Amino acid sequence: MALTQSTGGHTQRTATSARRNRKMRAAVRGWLFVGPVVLGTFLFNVLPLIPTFYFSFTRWNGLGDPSWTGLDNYTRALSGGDDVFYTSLKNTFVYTIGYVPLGIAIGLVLALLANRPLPGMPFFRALFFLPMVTSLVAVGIVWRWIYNDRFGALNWGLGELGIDGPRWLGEPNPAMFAVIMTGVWTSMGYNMIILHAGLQSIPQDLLDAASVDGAGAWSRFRNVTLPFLSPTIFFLSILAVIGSFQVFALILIMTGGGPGSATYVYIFNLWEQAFQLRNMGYGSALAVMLFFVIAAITAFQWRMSKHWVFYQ
Amino acid sequence: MIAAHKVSRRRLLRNISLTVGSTAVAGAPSQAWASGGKAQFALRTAQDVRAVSFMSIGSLQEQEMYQQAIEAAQQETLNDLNIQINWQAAPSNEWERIMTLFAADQASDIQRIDDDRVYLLASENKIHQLDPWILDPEIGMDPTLYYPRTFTSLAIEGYQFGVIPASSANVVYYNRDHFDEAGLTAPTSWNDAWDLDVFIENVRTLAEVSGAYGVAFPSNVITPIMYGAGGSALTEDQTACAFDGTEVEQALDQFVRLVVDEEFANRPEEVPLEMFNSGLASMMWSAMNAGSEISQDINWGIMPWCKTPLHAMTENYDRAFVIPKSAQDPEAAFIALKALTGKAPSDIFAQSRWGVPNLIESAEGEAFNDPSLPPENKNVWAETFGAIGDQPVDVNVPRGPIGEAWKSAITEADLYGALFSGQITTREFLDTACDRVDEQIQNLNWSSTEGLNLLMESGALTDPDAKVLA
Repeated sequence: MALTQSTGGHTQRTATSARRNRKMRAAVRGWLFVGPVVLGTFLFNVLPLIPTFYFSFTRWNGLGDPSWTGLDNYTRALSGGDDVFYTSLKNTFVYTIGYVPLGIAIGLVLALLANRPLPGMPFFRALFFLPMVTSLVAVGIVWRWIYNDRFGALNWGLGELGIDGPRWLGEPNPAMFAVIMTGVWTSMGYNMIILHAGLQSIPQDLLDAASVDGAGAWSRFRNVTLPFLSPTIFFLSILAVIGSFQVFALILIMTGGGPGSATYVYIFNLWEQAFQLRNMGYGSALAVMLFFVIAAITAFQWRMSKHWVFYQ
Repeated sequence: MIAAHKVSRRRLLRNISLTVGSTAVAGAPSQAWASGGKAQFALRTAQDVRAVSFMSIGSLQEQEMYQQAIEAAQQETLNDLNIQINWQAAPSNEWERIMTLFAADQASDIQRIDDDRVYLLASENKIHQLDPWILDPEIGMDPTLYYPRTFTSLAIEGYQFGVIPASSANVVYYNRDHFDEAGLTAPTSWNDAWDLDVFIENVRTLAEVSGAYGVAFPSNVITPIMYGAGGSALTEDQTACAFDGTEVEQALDQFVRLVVDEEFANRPEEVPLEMFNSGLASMMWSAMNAGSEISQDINWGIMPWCKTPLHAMTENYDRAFVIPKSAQDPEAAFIALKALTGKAPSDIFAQSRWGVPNLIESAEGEAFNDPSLPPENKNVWAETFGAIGDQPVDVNVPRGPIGEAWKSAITEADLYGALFSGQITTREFLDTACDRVDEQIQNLNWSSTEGLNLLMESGALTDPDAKVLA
């Protein structure tokens, strides 16, 4: 009996040890796979945050020694010491509010179209994805020409229809609209591909069952497709919001932040302060504040996702 | 040149003796000695060559030009002096990346940098004061060989912290076909430049005839417009912005009307070169290197910007080269830098249309004035180094933090863009720009003596008594 117990205990210990070893090996394998990315993220994303946070409390021109100024940089921004701080923040919110829903909605429409078994669809999918792989600088230059009110294609086309087009990039509201639409155009292919992948993961039997139950196209979309796509839409919205708060290259090329400060977004101000005027300390403070704004909005999105994102 | 050769021989002897001594002490392989003079020379050369690294940002053509200029300098003087310039490609085409190299003490021994950044680098003790070397009777520069602006334009509180082998002149590029169509003849010298009223009228004529913009200009054209009309950006003691007079307002207003009301000139979001290359602008104010970027479809020439009451009519960009404090052998770097201002490299800069050489012999020589190279009136570029009466054609914008604040205030996207899109009046523009400059003066507690204090305190001024501009 004692021998049996002893043998049983030994077997149990051996099994436990083998399980532990397997787990350990799996963990090591896992870390080997993600290790380079984790290391890279730590070195190039997390680590630079520490000096950025420190510099945000200093006056520093990027060359000499920084001098500690406490909360001065933050006070300057929040108390109106920077003429364009609130304007740039407002413009960024306007861009986000325009760009995120429109980009996802158009991506969804394209994904639904691309999901149909029509001839030539792979070609159109590739075509819609092209803006995503095109240089942003080239995109900005081409669209700047298209929007040119005197010599551009858009106003020429509108003129042919008897419509007197506005000065797209020369007046505040049309300029912001033009920049948003270019941003949407650039991202729609990416959104389409991701949403298309989401659409293909929806079980066909569920859609068939809904049809058998008499659900029409809209009802199937509303009650089956959208709930199943909600995690994908949520993922896209998180990325799009973060991306829209960091919009820079398009604006730099298309409008230079103008006319006046109509498209002067947050990152534009940060770039100008840090790298043009060499107020690295103040630029760092702007970066830290942006970090917290984006973190807060992302946290809000996570919280709100409980109400509309459906996980299988 | 003569002084440089003297140094060469002296150094050569010193180095040979040092090398022979050290080689003997180290027990050099007998093979090297036994194999005769050739091996011995190879050994000595390898050890004695003073290497100097050189870096600049620039287009592929510019990078090729630098390498040709280095080769020319090597042949002309540096080989004899046993100094070798090693070209280093810049990590990107952005000055900011170069500034990062300075911050990390990783800049090359000779580093090209934007002329506007030299003041900051000097006041942060990142670059060498060059006056002692320039004045050195053996290795120094002979000021009479160069245009005076070589030593005045980049002077930081009167001291030299950089050398300018060439400067890019800003002139008007014009479309000959549009001019012919409008029946206009372009002026061929700054002395004959159109008056402001004539210029504005001709812009209108060109726009009406060609259907294109009469003129396209970038934001920095505002500097000569304002300077030519009103004198100086700051008060003499640099404690207040002075650029808000009515004469400046009136001059500026004429250009604002051209853009906003009449649509005869480009708006801020329209890039002048793009407009000019597309035949959508009859004239374009731009730097010298724009010539190489103009489309072959455009039949172009150059002419002066319009005459302003004070004749300050353009702003040149100095091609500035500095020697970082981190340079391994700063004296060799200076000799190499001086060699890059020599005749052969200057001719290459001239032929490449990278700038008007500051070496007079080269600027007035065949390379720059070669009739087979466009455009016809090359004197329009070179004349920007001169004066009309007592007034220099080139605007003398103040350098330093307040000068930079002033430039930023008037050319920054929000203010300049607002002015030229009709959102604010010229008066509001001037007042707001001046408020920003005054705020910066207040923040830095600035006055005209502060700059010198900065140089002294940072240790940048290694020899305050040595002064080329004394």
